[in-house]
Amino acid sequence: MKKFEGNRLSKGITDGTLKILKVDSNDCDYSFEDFEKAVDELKIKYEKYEDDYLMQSRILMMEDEEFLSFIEKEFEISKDIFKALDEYYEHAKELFSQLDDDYLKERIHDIKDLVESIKLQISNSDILISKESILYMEDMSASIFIENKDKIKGLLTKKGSYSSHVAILARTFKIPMLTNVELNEKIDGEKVYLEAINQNAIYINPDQIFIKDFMVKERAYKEKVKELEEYKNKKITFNDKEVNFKVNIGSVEESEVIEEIDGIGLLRTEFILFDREKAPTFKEQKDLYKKISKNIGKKEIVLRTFDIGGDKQIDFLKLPKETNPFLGKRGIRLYGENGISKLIHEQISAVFELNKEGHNFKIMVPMVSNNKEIDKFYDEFIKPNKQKYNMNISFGIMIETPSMALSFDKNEKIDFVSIGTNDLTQYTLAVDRTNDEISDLYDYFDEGVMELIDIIIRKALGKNIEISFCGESAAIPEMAKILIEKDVKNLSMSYSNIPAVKKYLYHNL
Amino acid sequence: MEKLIFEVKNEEGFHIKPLTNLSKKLKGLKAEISIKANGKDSNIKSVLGVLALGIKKGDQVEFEISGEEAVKARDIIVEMEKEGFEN
Repeated sequence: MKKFEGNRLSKGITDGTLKILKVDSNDCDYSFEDFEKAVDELKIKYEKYEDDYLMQSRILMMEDEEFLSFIEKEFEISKDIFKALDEYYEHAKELFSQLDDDYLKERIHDIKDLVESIKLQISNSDILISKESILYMEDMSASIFIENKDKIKGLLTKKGSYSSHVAILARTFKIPMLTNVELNEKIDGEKVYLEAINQNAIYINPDQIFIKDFMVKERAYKEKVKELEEYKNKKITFNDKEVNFKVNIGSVEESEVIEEIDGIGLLRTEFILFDREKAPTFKEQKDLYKKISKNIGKKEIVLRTFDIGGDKQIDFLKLPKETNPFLGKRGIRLYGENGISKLIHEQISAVFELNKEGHNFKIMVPMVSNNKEIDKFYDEFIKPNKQKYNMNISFGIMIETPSMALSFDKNEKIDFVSIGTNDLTQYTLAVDRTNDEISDLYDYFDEGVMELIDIIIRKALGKNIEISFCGESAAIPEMAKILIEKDVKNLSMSYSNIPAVKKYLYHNL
Repeated sequence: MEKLIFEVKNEEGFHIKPLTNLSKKLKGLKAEISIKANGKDSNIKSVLGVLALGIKKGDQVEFEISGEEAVKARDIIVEMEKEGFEN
């Protein structure tokens, strides 16, 4: 038996026939006619997708005379059709890089996808994907997936990321997918067993015992998924009051696939700052928040202001390295810094503007350690906007420190609190949550931690401050039950955890 | 030559989707159409060219239409603009 491991991008388990799709770049003998033939073939394929504008737009691009003459000209020079296609991509990249609109800049991926599809079509002029295929590609193109969706049982790629278009599609359609997989062509056509649950690997030529176990596991998993689906939209009530299930997200992509939810209980906004050379503009911030809000039908969104520092470093801010970052300058403690202050000002203004336009945002501040910080934040960022826009916005904090757990009820400015259990547990127990050596001490159910949570809930209910849970521990079914029994009505967690939590609560509450 | 000027209403600007919808309707018509915005212009047949104009919501765009069936093309554009080129 051979085993190839990877990283999971979409959960699931399946067997199927391995189909390796490879762009054959060694053979450079392709002519311009081969290119034209491939374009014609692709056009016929795409024409079938009348209602899919993405596919329709590809036809448009392939009929673009400028595109065709560009390729022809480049081919004249290099006599290499793949190189000509790459040149076109580079040319487009250059053009797009001058745009200041992030949404348009992203369209470069559509060009890349088209170029790769054409290359693939040239080198495998008859891409025959048989039914029940597990597809392997170096870099999966979204159009190949859309075209062959009904035949694909699993996806494997060498390169890929969690938020790529294909990975999102795979999760939406519940097709298991692994990335960072290295396969050689010799095994093309082999029967493979893909396990993207715990092992995150594919197996070739296993023995009978393995196959038997695999089948049992596959059946059990599929039944579980089907069963959980039924719970996804179930209403959970306690003492005749409904419990709200909200979602924690940290990207625009995630907001595209969540459906039938009660809102976003935690929008981590730091993603906007990662992997870039300079700060985002006000408009960029506003556009991204607006997009997320529109994707979920303008339901309520708790926007957490940038939670940076600690273990989350932002390149362009060039913050100094600290010896003890978890107890250092992070979250609200950084908001007075040059550059960061401006980012927060723009973030808050964007939210006010959006609420004025009918969106439904709340503002939440991370990593607060005393009430003075809240007052300062309020005076500096919230109050001026309240006056400027002549409107109120629900304002709250994350409770992550024991000091705030014991004193938030003395603050008159806040409308709500949300408990972030990851850090609250870490700071209450004085246990670094990233240190494996002491991970046994890091316990969400520790008596002291639970007592502190109890105090927070009682204080909040007593003062009529709205309370919710957005820490990972809310997704532990037993924890969710305890919280609900203590009268917490808002839980927020990863979208994929909701069905299992609801199922447990449905039977145990 | 026919000229049309209007403001882009689409939230995400004038990009692939509106362009695809528009081009589908204009296919086969004997008309030359150019689109002008932000001080640059492009033939409407050049996908990259139009995208590179970076047309955003609120931008002024100007269509210039010439050729045998220019009037017909203009009517189509006017009609589609009403729905923000969404259909």
